[in-house]
Amino acid sequence: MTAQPAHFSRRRFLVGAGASAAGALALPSLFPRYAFATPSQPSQADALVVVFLRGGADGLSLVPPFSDTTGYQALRGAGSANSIAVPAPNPSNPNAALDLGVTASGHSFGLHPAMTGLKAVWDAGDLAIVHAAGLPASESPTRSHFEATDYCERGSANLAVTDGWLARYLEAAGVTGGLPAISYDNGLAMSLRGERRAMAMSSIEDFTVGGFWDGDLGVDALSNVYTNATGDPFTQQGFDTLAAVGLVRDADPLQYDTNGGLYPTTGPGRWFAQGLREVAALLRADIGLRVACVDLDGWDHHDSMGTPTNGVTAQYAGGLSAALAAFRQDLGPLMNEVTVVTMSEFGRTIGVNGSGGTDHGRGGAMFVMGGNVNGGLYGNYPSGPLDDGPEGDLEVQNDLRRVLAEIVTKRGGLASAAPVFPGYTHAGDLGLLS
Amino acid sequence: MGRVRSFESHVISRTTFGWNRQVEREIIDQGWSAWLDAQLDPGAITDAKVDRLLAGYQTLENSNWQNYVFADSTEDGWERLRMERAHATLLRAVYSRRQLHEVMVEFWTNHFCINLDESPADHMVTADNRTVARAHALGRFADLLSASAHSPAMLIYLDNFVSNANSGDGVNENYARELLELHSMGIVEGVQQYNEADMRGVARIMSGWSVNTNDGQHVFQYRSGYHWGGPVSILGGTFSTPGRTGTAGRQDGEALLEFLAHHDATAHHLAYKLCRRFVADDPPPGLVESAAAVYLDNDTAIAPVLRHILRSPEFAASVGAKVRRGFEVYTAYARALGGTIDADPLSDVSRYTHGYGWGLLDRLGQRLWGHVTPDGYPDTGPDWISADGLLRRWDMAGTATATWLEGWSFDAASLLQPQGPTVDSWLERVARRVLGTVTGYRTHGYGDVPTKAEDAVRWAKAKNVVTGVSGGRYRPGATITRGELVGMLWRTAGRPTGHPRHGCTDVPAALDGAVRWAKATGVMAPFPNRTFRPNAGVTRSLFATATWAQAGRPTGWGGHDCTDVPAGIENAVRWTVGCGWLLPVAEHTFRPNGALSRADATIALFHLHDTTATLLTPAERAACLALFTDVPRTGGQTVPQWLVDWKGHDLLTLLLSLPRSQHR
Repeated sequence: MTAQPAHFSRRRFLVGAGASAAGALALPSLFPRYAFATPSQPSQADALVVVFLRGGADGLSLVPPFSDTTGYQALRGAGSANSIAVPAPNPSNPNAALDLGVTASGHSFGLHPAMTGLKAVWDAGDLAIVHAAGLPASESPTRSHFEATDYCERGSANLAVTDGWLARYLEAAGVTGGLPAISYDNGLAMSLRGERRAMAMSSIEDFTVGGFWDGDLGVDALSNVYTNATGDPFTQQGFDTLAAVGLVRDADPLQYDTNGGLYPTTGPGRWFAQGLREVAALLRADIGLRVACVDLDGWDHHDSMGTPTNGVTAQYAGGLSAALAAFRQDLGPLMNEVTVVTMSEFGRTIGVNGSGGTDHGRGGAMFVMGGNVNGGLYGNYPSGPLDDGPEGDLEVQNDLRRVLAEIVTKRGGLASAAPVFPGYTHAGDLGLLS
Repeated sequence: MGRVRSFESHVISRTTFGWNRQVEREIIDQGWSAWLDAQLDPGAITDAKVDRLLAGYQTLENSNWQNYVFADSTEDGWERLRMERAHATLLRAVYSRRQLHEVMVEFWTNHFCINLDESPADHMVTADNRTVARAHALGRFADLLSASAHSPAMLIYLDNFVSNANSGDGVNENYARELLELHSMGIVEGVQQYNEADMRGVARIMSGWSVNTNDGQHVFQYRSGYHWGGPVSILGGTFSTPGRTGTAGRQDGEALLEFLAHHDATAHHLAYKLCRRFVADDPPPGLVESAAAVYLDNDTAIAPVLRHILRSPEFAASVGAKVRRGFEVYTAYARALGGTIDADPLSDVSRYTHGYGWGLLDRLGQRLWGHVTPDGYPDTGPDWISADGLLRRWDMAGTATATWLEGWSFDAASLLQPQGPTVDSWLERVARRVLGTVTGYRTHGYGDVPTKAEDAVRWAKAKNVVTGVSGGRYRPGATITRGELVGMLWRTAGRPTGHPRHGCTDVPAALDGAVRWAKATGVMAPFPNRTFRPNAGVTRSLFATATWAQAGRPTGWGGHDCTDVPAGIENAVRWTVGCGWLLPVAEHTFRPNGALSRADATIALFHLHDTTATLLTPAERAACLALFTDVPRTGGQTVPQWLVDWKGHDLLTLLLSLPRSQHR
């Protein structure tokens, strides 16, 4: 971490973007220990945005290894009524994959045709892809959504590890002031469990104490019973919540526009998009946000995945892509201090099933996006034809913790990922990030 | 005799959708043990109120096809169908007397979780709930599992209806996986007793379990052409099928379900989940083990397992250990406030409660049939303790205690009635009415007591302050006599003795000590002609002056607006109106010479004297008083109506928002 390139500091960016001088000056005194990025201490750590694609996203649709010679087209039912194959790139075919121009182990890769937004990010060199990623079967043989999700979010299949990987990251990073983490949901993501300053937020607008006619006295009243002295987690959460509500209210994040970012407002990605939009606003409001978890639910497509341009896969892939692209546009230069990573509990079977869908598999595709990303395809991929053997899926070639470990060290300010992933031995950086 | 012990409160909080006055009376009157037995036999409990509320519902008893026709051919049909399902569930949770049954219906609905929000099969969920969770909530689990496996809604939700072993692409594994993982054998604390090959075997056995989607049908259909024709052996050979074909192939699945219901792993999984629901987030292993044994010993019957768990020492030791989930927060608020929810499924309150994406239950994190994945809503505290979760609970308290939501009403005036001499004691009284954890006395046995006097008469009887007249009657409407009143006051004062003789000639021996005390203290004076006239009626004026004198003749109380109060009783009336013991009968009218009934006198004395126990903790009391910091001279001041009107809503909101109101 010695040769840090020069980055926009968050505060300089804010002032440059026209935030009120008073607000920009007031913040450091409020959070004196907030060591995020200052002109004298260039960006120590990025904010991490962790996107969980719940349900088991089909990496073979998002990043199709489209070459027919490897068996992809046949296994995906090309030519049949049940086909979910993405055709090889062809400018005159709207169903065809968007060519990434990369190969690995004899496979050529593209993006799903609905993902034009992420294709532009790829072309700009800010998108890295790791295929066949997940937790290795030797540690996590389960194909249960709930078990696999739990393992991914705890960063371990060992049940003795009870907190989430992001909670351990925040602890190791020594994050102190402000609002260090949010989970954009009703409840806190498992990956943040154990970090009591992490807040679940269903929207900025609703992040308020609203039940009382006299709201100020209501907050005073609640403060008498929701204290940090009882040892009861529920009561403690109330205390922390009251503090965070005040912080967000004072920062007024909704004053920021989207900087021209076009977040989708329809389709299955719309709530995810709203989440990213509000995370961007919170990042701009400079209240110490270091980790944000935003989910895109509903990838468990056992049937009727549809054609590349018409169907549920197209809607999900398109929503994911458009929202991420809008987020990048929204943050602009601040994207140099933000790293986004997507993950899913597992990928799906290679072969289409009798219902035009796919069942629970193993390896999936991960995306890493940010201003410090070295664009490209990374990691191992199985050589030779796809094997639709008894298990019928893409074996995990790349431990997802290898990707996350590189992020928390290169961009998260840690010297080592060992405290974050107990029991995991880092196999070395893939070089996703600078 | 005496107050409800905390154990009854504990039983109520775990086995019902929240405390309310009715269930408190039931459990006190029957004793918790008999009450529990009665709850485990819900068919013997009449439920007239729910029957009445749901009388106009049109879809709850329909078949899938009838509901499809209804939804498709009726104005607002689809919405009405969904809303009847959701609103009936809510009304039953809030108002049913079969509370434990409703709790178990919710438990099994969640266990066999279905979400068909954007599916054309959504109309099938109504019959699923009736024939699966509701039909077998306390019955045999084997029947429950079988009913679910035959349910078209489930077979569509988890894709088994299209699972075709004989198509080129093979079976669909979705249902088989969840049948093992969620419905039967489970994965408990990471321990899984089956493997992928077993799961694929189950998928083959269950292939062909489908749905007839033709017009007029929408029913279970076994499609022999979809069924895997070869033999299957799973779980180390402990279950195998010979490879039947034709309609006989269905027997494979029927046998498998019966086998799974009786499997050790299923017993352990269900015992674990039930203990987690009723005892603690981390269920005591010994109790899980013994509950699993009870399950297997009783041919998978559920009621004996519950009886075992609820009578265990582990259950008794787990007071307050569980956090209420979102739906339980809603029902607990509604029950504590004793409010009325409009039963019309398309009423404002119904739409506002069940609305997708914005309704109150959605915002509390538990919209009915709103959990997208088949694992159901989570059941441990950390899943429900979050910043957003708390904010929504506090919001919901403010909504429940307001009156703007059409179709929701409650008697705020009664809950907030300003009784108690000071703000301090008023807070205590309101808290007991809303939180209800320690009030309540065993039944009095009189047959003629009106609802408004029920608690007061229970108190009076339990404290031996007053007895009935004869023949099991209290005669609440009769005017209270001087003899009765002096006896009651003397007994509330603790039966003091040692006073000089009263000198009256008409006092029965039983009242001798009372009249001596009353004369000596000036609480009630005899007449000058050496009579006490014990059989004469008591006026409101006399009651006010007597109770005021007993309280030490306090002065300095705020005014009243009555124009018919003589100067001689002015201070007494100021005190009694200010404290709320005895309120004006109409605007500007105290009616000092009006007669006072036995019921009203008992109610007033109950409010005056039943203040011994303290419910609110010091921190809770400080929280309540924080709402009054913009009112000069709080705490010890009287509670005029304007203060009730100004602060009542926020006080109720706060009481429902306390940490104790969020636990069960």
